[in-house]
Amino acid sequence: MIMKTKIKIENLNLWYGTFQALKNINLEILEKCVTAIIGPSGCGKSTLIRCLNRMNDLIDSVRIEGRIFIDDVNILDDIDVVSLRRRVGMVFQKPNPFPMTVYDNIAYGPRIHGVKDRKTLDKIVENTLKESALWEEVKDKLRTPALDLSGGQQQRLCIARCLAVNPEIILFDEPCSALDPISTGRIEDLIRKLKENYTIVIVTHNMQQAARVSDYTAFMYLGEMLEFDTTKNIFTNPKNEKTESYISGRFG
Amino acid sequence: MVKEEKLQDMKDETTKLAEMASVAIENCMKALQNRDFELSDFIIRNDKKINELYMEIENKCIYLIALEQPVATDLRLISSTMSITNDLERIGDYAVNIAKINKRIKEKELVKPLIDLPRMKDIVREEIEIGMDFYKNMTYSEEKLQIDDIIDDLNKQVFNELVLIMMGDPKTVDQAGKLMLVGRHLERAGDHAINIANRVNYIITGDIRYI
Repeated sequence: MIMKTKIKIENLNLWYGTFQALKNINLEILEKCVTAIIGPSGCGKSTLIRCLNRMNDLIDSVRIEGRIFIDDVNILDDIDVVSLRRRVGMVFQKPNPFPMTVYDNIAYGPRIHGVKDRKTLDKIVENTLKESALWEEVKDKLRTPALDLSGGQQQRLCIARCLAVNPEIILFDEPCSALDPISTGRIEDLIRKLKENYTIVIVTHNMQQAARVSDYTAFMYLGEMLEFDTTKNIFTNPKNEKTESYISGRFG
Repeated sequence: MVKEEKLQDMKDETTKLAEMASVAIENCMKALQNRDFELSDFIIRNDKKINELYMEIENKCIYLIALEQPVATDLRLISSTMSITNDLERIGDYAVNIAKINKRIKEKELVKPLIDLPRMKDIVREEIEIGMDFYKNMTYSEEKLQIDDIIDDLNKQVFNELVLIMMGDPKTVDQAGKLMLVGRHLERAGDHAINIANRVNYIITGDIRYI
């Protein structure tokens, strides 16, 4: 099967003020695959995925050079950032549902994008909750506050919220670090399922998680991308000494 | 947690390897009995496939360990599968050794009719089947493994018989020596089959003394 490149990062450099956080990053992310970015704290992995939906725009002192193509369009050019963020959804470390009902959390995005019809919204809510493996648990609680759900359920709700606006790419920034092992297992199963329809990039501190869920793994260290390969190769036969030391737990 | 279908796939491949090794043992003795050199050549060539499958399973096990972090029974199953495939690959090698012996004996008439050696072969195949049956169903019964004593007895019997033939006619020494080796190879192949069964006992109990 020939895989299509969904995201192509070329010579990406990023500075916070005078500190260079990303150094000449080049990376191709394939469509409908899970790509994990691993590396010790402060290596720039979160900074890198925040570039993919231009979240770094929100920080004043940031300066970016290089190009990031999504489907051949450079997203660092002058483009519609709102529409970019619809296409590139993000799930964060801590579940961050809005302080509203389960239903409204999911309907929020589609409403902003102009969906008003009640039946259509009902369908979107049901479908995305099913897609995020939460429907059975919350179908009778759609009108309860989202913050009443358990941590794992809140995180799956955030994934559902992200799916509700029909993204093409989903970025996960440490999505399980605040969850217990059972909830983590559910999210990992979900990620494996979601890759059938979405391109997924996951940043994780948990190397075992990267090994379990991803098809490709990138190892970053001090702002540089030291190695990128299939997850099988990275975890059985890494080429870079630093990658080997990191995944064996010798540093980081 | 390792996905059940991945473990099943590994077990299915190992079962396939066992079938290939068992067929090789059958064929190598058939070739010797029928003085069929083509069949011997086939066994020697086909061993490449056994080796390839062995490496493929080993690689899968390595990936499972690296990527899925198996623990407890899953870990014992995967690590033991690596030993079991090694045993099966060795059994394939013994079949090759016997196939080569057949070719080295050439067209010469055999110094004795083959009776006990084919019986040993049958028991080796039965032992492989028992071991793999344990492996597939995760069961174990020590009683069933006692048939290995028969192989040992038969091997001694074949050895003594061949010594007598050698003493009677020095011209038979070369071929009788080769037939002794056939007995030795079958006996070793049987030991490897028994290893498989014992490995399963280790998977079930976690007691390392069984291996």
